[in-house]
Amino acid sequence: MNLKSDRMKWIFLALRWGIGALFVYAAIGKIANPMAFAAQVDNYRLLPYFLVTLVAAILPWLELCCGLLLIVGKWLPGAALILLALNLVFLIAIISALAKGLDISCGCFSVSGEGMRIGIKKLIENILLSLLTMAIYWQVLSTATKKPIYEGTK
Amino acid sequence: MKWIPKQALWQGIIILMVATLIGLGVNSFHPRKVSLTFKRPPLKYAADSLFAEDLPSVNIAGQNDSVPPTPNASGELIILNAGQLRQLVSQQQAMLLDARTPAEYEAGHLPGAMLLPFDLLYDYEQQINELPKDKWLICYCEGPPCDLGELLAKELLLRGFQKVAVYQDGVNDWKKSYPVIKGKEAGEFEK
Repeated sequence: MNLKSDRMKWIFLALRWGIGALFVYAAIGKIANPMAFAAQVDNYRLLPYFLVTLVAAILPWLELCCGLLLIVGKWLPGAALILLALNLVFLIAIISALAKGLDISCGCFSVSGEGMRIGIKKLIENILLSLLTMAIYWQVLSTATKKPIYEGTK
Repeated sequence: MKWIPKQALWQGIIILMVATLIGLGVNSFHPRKVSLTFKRPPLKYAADSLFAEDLPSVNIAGQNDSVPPTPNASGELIILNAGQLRQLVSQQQAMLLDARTPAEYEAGHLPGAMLLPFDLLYDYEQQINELPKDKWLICYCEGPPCDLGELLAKELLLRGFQKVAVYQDGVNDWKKSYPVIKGKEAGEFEK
């Protein structure tokens, strides 16, 4: 696959914008109501409560920053790496919840919980999202030119 | 190609630091901020005075609020404990709504509770339309971390019901002190 061909560039650009917009959208609801997001994170029963509150305060801003960086095309290696790591963490959390039989809201895109229960459908969605983020990360690394950190990559 | 080149790692660390500063900074003055505590905060049960109109026998001595607050006026869900639930139901001022699946309901539910599964609400529109508006609708599910009771309560509030509350401790708490009813029948609530 020639990652530098025009067609591939446009495909990955569309993918980058789509994933970036998705994470910006996911972040907004959580930024508006960190208390509700903390309750959803706590429902997974994976972290001690102090870490739950830190995650609720910080994670939405991390998603927002990385989503925006993906859209504008700056600091792509760092942004894509973080989003990939986040997706893998979410996947582990969903698998853990399913294994424990927890009937809870995902907390992925909305703090209201409607239509976002943990289940096989949510698991498949997250696996797909992880694969797409992985593809973006791989493309970014493969086409990156060596520049100082503060200049990012094209 | 390295899987995590230095450039990606350093950029990631800086992004994480910036997001942490922004997140903690905004949280400090956010109206719905999370408190950075080590222990999970206890549930905030509703004050007994909230039910004074429905339960004249409720002892509200010592309470400063002589006028009970309007139910759900603040937008926060009203959370009941088992004692308040028992008083309201035995005085026929409340209806219990089980937000879990039919199978979970039949495995054991609160006496007198009606099944209204949150994940299958589209099949229960008629039952929702027939719910009384002058009685408390108390929603519950298994207990933490299950949040189906809360979700059902929010849905009922959106549909215009005013007197809605959540027994957040759920079936797991109820079973410690009182019996549950098995099967499809709602059963009788023993006073």
